[in-house]
Amino acid sequence: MSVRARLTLWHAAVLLVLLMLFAGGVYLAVRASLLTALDRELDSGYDAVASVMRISGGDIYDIYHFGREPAFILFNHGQPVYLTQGWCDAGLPVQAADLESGYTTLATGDGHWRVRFGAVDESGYALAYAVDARLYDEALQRLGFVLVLGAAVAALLALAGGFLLAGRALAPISTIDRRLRDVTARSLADRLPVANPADELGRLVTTINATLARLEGAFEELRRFTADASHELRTPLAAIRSVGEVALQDGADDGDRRQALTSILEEAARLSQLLETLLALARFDAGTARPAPQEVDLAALAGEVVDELAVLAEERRQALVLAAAAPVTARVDPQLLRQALVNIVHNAIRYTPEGGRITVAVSRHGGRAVLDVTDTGPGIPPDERELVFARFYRCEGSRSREGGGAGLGLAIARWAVAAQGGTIAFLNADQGAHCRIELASDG
Amino acid sequence: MKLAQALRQGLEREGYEVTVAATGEEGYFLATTARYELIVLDLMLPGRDGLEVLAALRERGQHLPVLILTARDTVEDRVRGLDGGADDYLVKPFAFAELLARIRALTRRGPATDTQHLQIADLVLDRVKRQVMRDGTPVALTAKEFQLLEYLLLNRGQVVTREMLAHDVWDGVACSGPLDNVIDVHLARLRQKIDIADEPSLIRTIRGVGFMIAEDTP
Repeated sequence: MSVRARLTLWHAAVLLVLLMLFAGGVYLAVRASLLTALDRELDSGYDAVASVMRISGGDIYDIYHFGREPAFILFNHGQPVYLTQGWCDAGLPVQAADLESGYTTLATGDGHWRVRFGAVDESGYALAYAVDARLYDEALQRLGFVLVLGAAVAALLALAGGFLLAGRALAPISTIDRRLRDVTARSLADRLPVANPADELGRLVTTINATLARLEGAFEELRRFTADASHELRTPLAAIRSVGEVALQDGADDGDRRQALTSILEEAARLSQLLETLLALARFDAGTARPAPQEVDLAALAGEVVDELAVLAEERRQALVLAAAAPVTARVDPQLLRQALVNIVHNAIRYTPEGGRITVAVSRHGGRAVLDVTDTGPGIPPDERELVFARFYRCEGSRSREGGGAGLGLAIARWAVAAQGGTIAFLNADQGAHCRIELASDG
Repeated sequence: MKLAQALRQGLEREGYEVTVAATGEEGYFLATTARYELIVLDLMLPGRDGLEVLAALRERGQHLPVLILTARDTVEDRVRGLDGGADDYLVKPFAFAELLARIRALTRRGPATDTQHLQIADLVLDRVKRQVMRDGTPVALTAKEFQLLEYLLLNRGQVVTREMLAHDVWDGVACSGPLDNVIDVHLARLRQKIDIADEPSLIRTIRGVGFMIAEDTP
């Protein structure tokens, strides 16, 4: 069932219940007041006859002048002694045993009669007086009819009104749905117009737009990544193919073929390595690679990394130094953090000219453990500091294959740090590059 | 099948006798009817799944070593393979030299490893004293260089890949790019220290494959 139909039915049902309660209340109140009016009429008739009886001292001849119209019957010690034509015509009982004392409503052939029956005084006379309740019945019937009809009409109107109202309220949602379908079918670049950013629908549209923007960003990143990855994979593949084909050409001797096979193996190794890295990144993205945090002394970990990479710095006559005054412990995945730090330090070694200096400093700032890698290289221009963490990004001029990796090192470093709740960024530096990793520290 | 043929050729050249089974059923039949020293089992087999074959073999009480080859390398896959009764696990693509090394380890073939002295030509490495002598003169090596030389000597005459070095000498730090450079630098320094001028290096680079320490054979 559509939301519109449900809203309409609920709306009508609630209104119907309210109307029924209201109508019931009105009916009961009107009936009670009508009955009171009827009983007052009954009392005045009864009292008139009774008072005449009392004044005359039981002389029933004085009540002749009440005429034939009023309906009453007079008993003496239970025996009927006088009844009017009105009583007779009404078809009301003529035996005292058939009447109840007090106020009663009696049904006769052609309607209802309100009857009051009781002793007039101690003389033994009892009087039963009746008034026709037909008008009262009719009034109640009419009221009931009006109420039921009114409720029915109101319910129908409520259905129609609710339907219209729900339609009006839901129309923007249908519009949003239609537009959104258009947008996603064409491209993710379009956004939905926001009519009123303050109301519920405006907020919904704003949220949808934000979701679209994120989707578009993710798609764009994926597209770029796929393009870059295929480019990176295509280059070694192309080399393998052409080297293989050339080796099979007539005139190639054994030495040439050996040479060709060697290049093919080298390219294959490069491909494998790239594939491994891409798979690792894909696993990070899919969230299947879970960090395994444990208490780690970051100073010791940084020391290991410095020791391991020291030979590379030595080859370039660079000074690679560790600046750690005291142990700084943090709960991190040592493998992941090590990987991140190795990639950053390796990067620093690669981009710092010979004779330069690379410092790895471990310290604590507030509640955070901080790893700073600074170098005396050319640094990174401010507008590239964020870009360098993108996959396959390489600074201008360093897109040579001998320059090293495929441009995934920093992307992996960023993931590895982010996976354990840390941050990594290149900061402003007077000279060279300054990369800072911040992690939650516990002492 | 290309891979199987290449492996057969390579292994036969190394002196192994090799039978190739094209399907899981065939492999199971061969493994249960003939005697083998070792099975190299590809998990992606036509017909019967490699793990099934392995389970069936183990159920029959076959205890021969099984080395699994697979293209899947998540931790779960690894655990599944080893739980299924495999003795070792190699992820495609792998270097043939690495396969050889694993096969040697599983069949306990190849050079003996538990000796104090490892020697090649006139180079002697003392594993207890942690000393290296070349032509009677001591050579001062760093700890890493010593480990590297020891590993090469333990696999003398066999190609050692960078992956093997990264895994066994550097405890497999996951980032291959920087580590490759580190390995290269250490190797270059090791060469400088143990080689004698104007003589060919004891440590040979097999381009595209890896390194090998071997006596100079013409």
